[in-house]
Amino acid sequence: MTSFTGITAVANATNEMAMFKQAMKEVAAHPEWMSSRQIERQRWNPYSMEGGSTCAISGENFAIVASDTRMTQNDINILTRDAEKIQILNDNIILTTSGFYGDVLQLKKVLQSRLHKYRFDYRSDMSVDLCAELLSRNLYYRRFFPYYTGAILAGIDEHGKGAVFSYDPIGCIERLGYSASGAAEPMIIPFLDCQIGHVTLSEGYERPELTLDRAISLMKDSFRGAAEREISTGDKIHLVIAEAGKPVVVKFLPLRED
Amino acid sequence: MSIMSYTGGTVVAMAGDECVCIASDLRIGEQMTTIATDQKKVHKVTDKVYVGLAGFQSDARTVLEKIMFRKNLYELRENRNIKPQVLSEMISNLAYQHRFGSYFTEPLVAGLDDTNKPYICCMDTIGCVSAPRDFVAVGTGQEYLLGVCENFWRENMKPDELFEATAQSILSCLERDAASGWGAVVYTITKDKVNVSTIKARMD
Repeated sequence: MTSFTGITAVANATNEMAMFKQAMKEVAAHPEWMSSRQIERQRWNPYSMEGGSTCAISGENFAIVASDTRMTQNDINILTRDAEKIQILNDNIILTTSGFYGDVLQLKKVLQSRLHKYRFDYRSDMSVDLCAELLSRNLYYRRFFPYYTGAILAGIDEHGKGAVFSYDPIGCIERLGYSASGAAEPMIIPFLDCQIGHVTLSEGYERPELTLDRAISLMKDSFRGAAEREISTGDKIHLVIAEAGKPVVVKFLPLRED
Repeated sequence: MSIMSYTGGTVVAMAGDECVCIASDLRIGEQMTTIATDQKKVHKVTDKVYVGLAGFQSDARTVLEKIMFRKNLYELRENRNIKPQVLSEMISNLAYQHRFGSYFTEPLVAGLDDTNKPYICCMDTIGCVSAPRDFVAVGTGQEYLLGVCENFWRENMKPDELFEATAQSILSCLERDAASGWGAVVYTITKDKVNVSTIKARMD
């Protein structure tokens, strides 16, 4: 009569273990000692921000685009010092994006493949105006799970004039003379407002012409200023210069590394 | 929306060669609504020492009264003018006394000491002083200002250059900061006079 007690003991133990595991699972899903806000904070987030800033300036017959090459995690941990945020899509379209680096890469891939298909279908390169509209629609297509990026599209339009298009994450588009996006946007934009937009100058004063050289030096100045104060911006300036009727020039310039 | 940006407002100070400039905008709001368009956030403490108070303006008023009270007491007891360094230490102590229930205002001190050496400093709400040699900015437009100032500030500027740099900086800031605006007031403090200029800016 005593030979079966061992088996029931094992069965009880297994059952107990299963119940314990179940209880652990439940408490992990709804921890009673944490406030709802704490639970919210610990939940997995599909987005992250890798910092960095980008900027674009357009002129009569040129457009220049720049970004820094630093990639950070939590604003203090440097993941790499040569992450590229600028993509030369063709001879007259340059895309620059900052924000969530995963989406930066995905957006670049999507546009590249759409441009590839366009080239195959129409046997010519896409113009920057078309690409601007395409990008806007691609961003809005993901209205309720957006690409977490601030995109700027720059290039030379069909009339040989410089063009800069600025976007918000869900595809609101605007053609501007100059634009910036990313962590140091609030530091760069007012400086360009002052130097290119001349918003602080009263009427009747002579406004200096925006030449390519002036645009490049303003770009360098604004990034040096931003790198001085904004910690996720630094390491190198990746500068891309597009001039009407000339090949695209790419340069790397040193920036603060601390 | 944070209490620090409830009323809006920005203050900036720059140091030059035996001169300092301190400037603020003129707007007071209640979040998105503009309440007044003539409120200076810069206040005179002595002939050569000015204090700027950005942040929640109700607290700024209270803090200003406390600052003036302590400064008056200091001048009566010591029988001499207060130095900007001393004043900033005093404000810092005042702010830290309220460590666990702080005034929602970030003070900024700018002035010349008795050897006419420029002194500028800013604090956080609990009185952590930062006194750099170049420029300081507090308020809703802080980030906009720091970016522009970084490009405009040069070593040993004379009063007129310094005024121009400060004025251009704050105007560029007001262009983008919706919580500040409606003109700016710039005080240029030199060893024998203080120049006050009110500048027109965007009215929206």
